[in-house]
Amino acid sequence: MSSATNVETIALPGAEATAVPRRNILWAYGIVGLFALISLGTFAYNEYYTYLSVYLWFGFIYGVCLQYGRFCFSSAFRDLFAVGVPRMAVGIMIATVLFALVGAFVTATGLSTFHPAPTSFHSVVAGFIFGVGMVFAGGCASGSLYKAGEGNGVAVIVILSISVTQAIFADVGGWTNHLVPQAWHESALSKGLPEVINVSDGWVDQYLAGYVWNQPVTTYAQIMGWSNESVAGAFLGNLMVGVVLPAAALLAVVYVFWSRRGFKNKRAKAGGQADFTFKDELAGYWTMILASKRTAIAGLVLGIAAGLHMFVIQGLRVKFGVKNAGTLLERMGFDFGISVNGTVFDPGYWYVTTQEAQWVGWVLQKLGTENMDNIYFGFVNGIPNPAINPADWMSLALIGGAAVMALLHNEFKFKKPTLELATWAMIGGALMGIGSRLGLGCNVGAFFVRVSQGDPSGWLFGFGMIGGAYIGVKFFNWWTERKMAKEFAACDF
Amino acid sequence: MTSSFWKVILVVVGFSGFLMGYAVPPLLEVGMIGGGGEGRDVGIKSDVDEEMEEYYRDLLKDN
Repeated sequence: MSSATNVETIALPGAEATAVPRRNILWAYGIVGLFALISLGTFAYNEYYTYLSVYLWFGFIYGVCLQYGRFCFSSAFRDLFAVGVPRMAVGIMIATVLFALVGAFVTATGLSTFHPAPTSFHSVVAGFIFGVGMVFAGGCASGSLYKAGEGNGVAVIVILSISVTQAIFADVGGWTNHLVPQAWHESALSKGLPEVINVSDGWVDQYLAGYVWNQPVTTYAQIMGWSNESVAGAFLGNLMVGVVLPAAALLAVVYVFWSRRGFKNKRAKAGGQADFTFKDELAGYWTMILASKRTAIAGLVLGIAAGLHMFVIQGLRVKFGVKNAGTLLERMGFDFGISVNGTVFDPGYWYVTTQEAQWVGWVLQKLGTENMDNIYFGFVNGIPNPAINPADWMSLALIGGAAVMALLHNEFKFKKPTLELATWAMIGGALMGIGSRLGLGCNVGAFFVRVSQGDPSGWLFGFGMIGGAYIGVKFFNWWTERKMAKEFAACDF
Repeated sequence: MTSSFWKVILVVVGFSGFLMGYAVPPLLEVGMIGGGGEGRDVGIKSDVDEEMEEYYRDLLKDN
């Protein structure tokens, strides 16, 4: 610490040393201190709050990792498709593999809290809508959270837009009921859901109960005839076949189209051999992988943290004798917003979008809108008070963790959005919100987590998301060129 | 690497470590980790003493 300049030089792992003002460090301590105080205070009040503190501290770790690794799918695909830089896309793929490695350990020990999702074409469509949205918004669901922690106003608007759109979309009925195919309607009615859910009113309700729930739920391990908890199932089925091989193939495609030429040119400039052998190709492939070190490290830590998160949640469920946090909330006297099944959203691992929908759902319910008569809120996730919603603790702590990391690396800065960026943020956020509800998750819940846990629906969502991101980038390029042409035409040189 | 960053890491590791420690005993108890726990001893427990057990076994022999 230099008393003259009142700055401290901080070097984060894998990053250059940065001079950080003392004020930033105090703010970082303040945020950590606040979370510590919440954890200790609530624990002293009631032991059950430990369950929420688990979400808080693991959320904080996720935030630190996301900010450190610049873990944003939107930036990754924009860089790849718009300017041909594959570094972050490669990093995300490596992170997925590393997360899957940790996930395989957790699954093999029988401590996983993960449940695969129904697999069908709906995931591709949902991913496509989400992909277009994240490019328009300039940040995916996870990216927007960590960018909000960096003080980015656009990211805050994106989060608001995702949250509001999901809450409204999950409950939309009226004329949209006419858009529901008769087969979905009949299938939904045949599920025997409680009357309070009113399944015949609501597009998403009938989509879920009449279509999505009829799709197969499986993992690569099960497809190959193993159980998820077996070593062969977890490591060969879910990890090797489900993640490593497809990821290696995708990385090969990225290498051939976006990285190979640059590597060849670099070799030629360095006076390398004229002929480019298979060994050189492998060296180029490996160089591309190593170039994404920071995102990969973040992915590894994210994977370990998510694995431990599952482990701790499972332990506390056994300790308190519950299967879901809804029971704990009821025991603590909070019965508002608990689903008809007595549950609230309690994934037991990293998730982003549902808790965003829940807090808006809770606000709307408080304002007089009936939000508990649909499957999403009323039957499965509930809309508990955000102050005692476990997953909301995770998201808020995630923003806090990202803020601490940004402050300690002097990257925190309040950025006020322009009207144009705010408009794109709202449009993109709305598309991401719709995509998330159709795909039962975002780039984290529907892609990153599912792929790494051997759920085939994750790749389907991912392929749709890549397609959507490609179209989104192409549209944006066209839009920008058109706008610039108009501006140039208006200039009188 | 400077102390501010490590102080933050220390607090985070401290809290998450405590929570992990909090979660381990229940998992050990039910045998979800370590494979031990009460699970091995689960069965019908009887307060009948050995003499009475012998008596009942002898009854079966008579038949």
